[in-house]
Parts: sequence; structure tokens; C-alpha cells
Amino acid sequence: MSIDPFAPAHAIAAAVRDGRTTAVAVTRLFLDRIAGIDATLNAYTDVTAERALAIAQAIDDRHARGEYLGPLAGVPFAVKNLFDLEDLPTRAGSLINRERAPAARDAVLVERLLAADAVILGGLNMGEYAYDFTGENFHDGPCRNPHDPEHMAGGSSSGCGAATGGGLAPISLGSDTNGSIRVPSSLCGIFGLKPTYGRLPRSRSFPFCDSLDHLGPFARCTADLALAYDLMQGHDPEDHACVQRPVESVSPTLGAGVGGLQVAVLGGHFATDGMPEATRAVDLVAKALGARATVELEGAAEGRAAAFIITNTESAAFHLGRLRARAADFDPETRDRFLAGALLPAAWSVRAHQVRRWYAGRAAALFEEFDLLIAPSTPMSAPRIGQKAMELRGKTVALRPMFGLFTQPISAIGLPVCAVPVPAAVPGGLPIGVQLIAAPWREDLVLRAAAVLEAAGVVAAPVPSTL
Amino acid sequence: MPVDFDPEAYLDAHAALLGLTITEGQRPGVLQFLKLAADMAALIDGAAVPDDTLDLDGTFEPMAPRGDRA
Repeated sequence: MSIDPFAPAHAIAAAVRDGRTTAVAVTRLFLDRIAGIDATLNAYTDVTAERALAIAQAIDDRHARGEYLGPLAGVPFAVKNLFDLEDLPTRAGSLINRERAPAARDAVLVERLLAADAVILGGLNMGEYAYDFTGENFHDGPCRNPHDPEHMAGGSSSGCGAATGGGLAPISLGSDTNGSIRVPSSLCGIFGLKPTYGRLPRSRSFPFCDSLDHLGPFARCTADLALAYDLMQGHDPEDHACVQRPVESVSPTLGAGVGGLQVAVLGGHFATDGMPEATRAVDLVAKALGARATVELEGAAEGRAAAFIITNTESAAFHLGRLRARAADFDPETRDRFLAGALLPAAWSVRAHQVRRWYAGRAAALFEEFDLLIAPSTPMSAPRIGQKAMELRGKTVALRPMFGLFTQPISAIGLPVCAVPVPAAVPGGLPIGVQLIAAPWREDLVLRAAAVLEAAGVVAAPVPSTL
Repeated sequence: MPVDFDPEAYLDAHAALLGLTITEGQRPGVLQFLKLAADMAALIDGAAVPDDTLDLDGTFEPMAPRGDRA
């Protein structure tokens, strides 16, 4: 049978398990698509074709012997190139890291998807050292939007957005420190899950900002997002921030609905005045989920500022040796930010950590009244490649540091978020998405809400007309 | 931005102390981000955190040895 490259991952796995296709056939289909389309999208930096075909052949051999196949049997996936992949240097979007020794072992989340019989296709483009919302990379070139290659894919998990949005990987894994899963999800029209801080282990991934780094999946539907997330849960001692918490599977409750849940739209800092696409997206989702109020999250602007300072100081301290010795080898768009961050006073950093805790308390108080909060993912659809500034509430502001206006206050306090695409907000236009936000450890609620919206036809991953 | 924060003077005073060489080509970008960081610092400075508290977001967790001595 022919396989639709935009088919859900769980449907591909079912077809492999049922013998309607093979893992090798699926893998070849995606490798052929990458060979044909990725010259346009620039989503992949490393295609591990030989390894992928060997994994797929081993799956088919086991199937032929009548052995059990895992939940992601034969499903191709790819990872932001800050995840360790065995035998590849973990470049993290940089030039400097290409001199690192090849990784001896896959990142733990890669291992967990491989254990479910998924097939790794390779590493994906990203903003240098993850300090980016645009998907433009000085060393590897810009990653392009699958719905219009003249526009950004969003960053820093740009390759994830382009690959899963463009039918080059049904599932991909990225990282999110200030919005780097939710921004590409929004701009490329796909689903992304940023779990609670500390939920998924970051073992054997290259860090950006330890206090704020999260890892999570991208997919083309809610069921795939939940499936991949469930398969990756579980403590790993190699990541000191990963909590000792039992696996709390969300797939079994995905159809539980949102009846009885209290839903609100975030206003104030999250207001979408002058942002028509974001306004329509939020309105559609709010109506479908029965939001009963618009509320303010006290401290959101201050919390975002705290995340900005923590990110700037912590990441610059991490890269200080590289900044001293090799500043000229950085992407100019990240280098100047890192250099500034290295200089900031310690008192600002301590205050930021104090404000972050205070702000987390304000959010916890709001979750005593509400179960789900709705906010836009991005102020607008994808800007053009090379765009440096944007109009925001009547002012012209720098795009790079400001594109995370709505995502940064949420990751600042580690809340779980499902980013959902809302095609009806931009009929015929470039995609835009919305954040579904819950209290810590309630990934089940954000995914249940996404499933309700998906069943109602409010959210869906559009198939690019240009590919 | 804090009223007494002068990005240019601050950069000149601190870059060399940290062993950082900031070229003329890099200087405008670094100054731009120093100003932005100072704006963010002013925001957190104004947060309604209770006075005389120092509750930070991270709490150090002492590490026990592995195995029988745990």
C-alpha cells in the first residue's frame, strides 16, 4: 500500500504491524522525500540513512519472525541537533561544536523512541545554541517554512517545525527554553508539547540554560503527541533536574473531554490588541473550550523579564570560555547576546531567580480557580526570512528577542503547554497557533483539551500546498 | 532601564575584567542587548516581591551516597 507522508504516526505504525507495509518501505519513502524536498526547506543537517535502513530492516525481520513490534513500529522521527546521536558530533546549531568527538551514545529520549521501534532519520537544523526564535542559522542556512519557503520556520527548534510540518518526519523532538517548541509549532502549523519542567530527562542533550531547558515532541495530531510523550516519560538520574515521578500516561485519558474544567483566556500581558491572526486563533479556541472568563496572570511581564535575565546570564556563563577564545566563530546574531549576558551584574541574576519563584506562586493561585488557560503562541504568523523587526502594539521592536512575548512567561515557571495549530484563524494564509496551559504535572489536561479541539475541527495540522 | 545604568561605560569597565575582547563590529550589538537586559532588570526590580525575603527558585538538595550508606 502507499503511505501518506502526512499520515499520523500511529496509523503508520498500525500499517507496519498489520503487514500492509514495511518499515523499510516507510523509511525509504521519507528518505526519498528528504532527498527531494529538503534542499528547499533545509530542515535536516544530518541524514542517517544507512542507520535508518538498518533499523527498519531489523524491525521487518522481527515482524517476519512473528515477534512483537512496539507502538511506533517503523515510524520515522528526527531530532533537533542538540540531541546526541551516536557517531555524530552534537553541533547544537554551532560551528564550534562540530569539532566535538562523535557522541558515544544516543540521548535518552532517542533511546526510548527507538525502544518503541521508531526509526531515527537524523539531526535537524536549529538556531545556534538554541538562542533563537527565527530558525535562521548563520552556519547551516535558514530553515524554511513548509507553507511558504520565503518565510521563517521559527526557532530555535526550526528543523522540527519544518520536518514535521513538511511531511519529512511524522514525529520530531526539540527543546524549549523560552518558546522554542511552541514558536515553530505555531509558524509551521503543527502540534507541540512542552511538558512540565523536570518531567522529561534531558540526558545527553547539549544544554542552553539549565534552569529553563525542557525537551518535548512535535507531531501532526494529538494522539501522536500523547503517544510519543508517554513513551519518553520516566526518571533518568543523568539529568539532575528530572524529577522522581511515576510515569503518568496521558493516552488512556485523551478522550476524557473537558467537561467540568474551568477554562479562561489570559489577558493583560497576553492581550492580542492589534494582532488580528492571534486574536482569531484565541477566540476560536476559547469558544470551542467554553472559556468563561478573561483573566490576568499577575507577574507575567516580570516573570518574562526574569526568564530573559536567567537565560542571558546562565547561557553566557556556560559559553564564557568559547566567547573568550572564539567569539568570531559564533553566529553574529547570537554572539552579541551572549557577550552582553556575560557582563550582566550578579545582583540582576539573583533578583531574577527571586522573582521567578514569586511569580510561580501567582500562577499557582490562579490555578486554584482555573484548570486551563489559553494564550496565543505567537503575535503573528511567520515573518519573512531575514526580517529583523516587527510591529507590536504600535511600536517597532526587534523581532529576535521579542517573538517569544507570549511563550516566555509560561516556560519561565515550567508550566505544561500543548501548542495547537488553528487553521481557521488564517484561511488560506500562513499558520498560527495557540497555547493550552495547565498547572504543573497536568499534561493530561492540555492534551485532553487539544483532543477536544481536534475532534471539533478547530485545530489541525494543515498539509502544505507548496510541497 | 535602571536610571544609573550606562551601557557604554558598563561595557568598557567590565569586558576586559572578564577577559572578553569586544570588537568595534560587535560593540553596537552588545550595547543593544545590554540596554534590553537593563530594561528587563528594571521590570524585575519593580516586581511586588515581599521585602526582606530571599526565596529563590532553586533549592539545593544535599546528595546522599549511593548504595548501603544511603
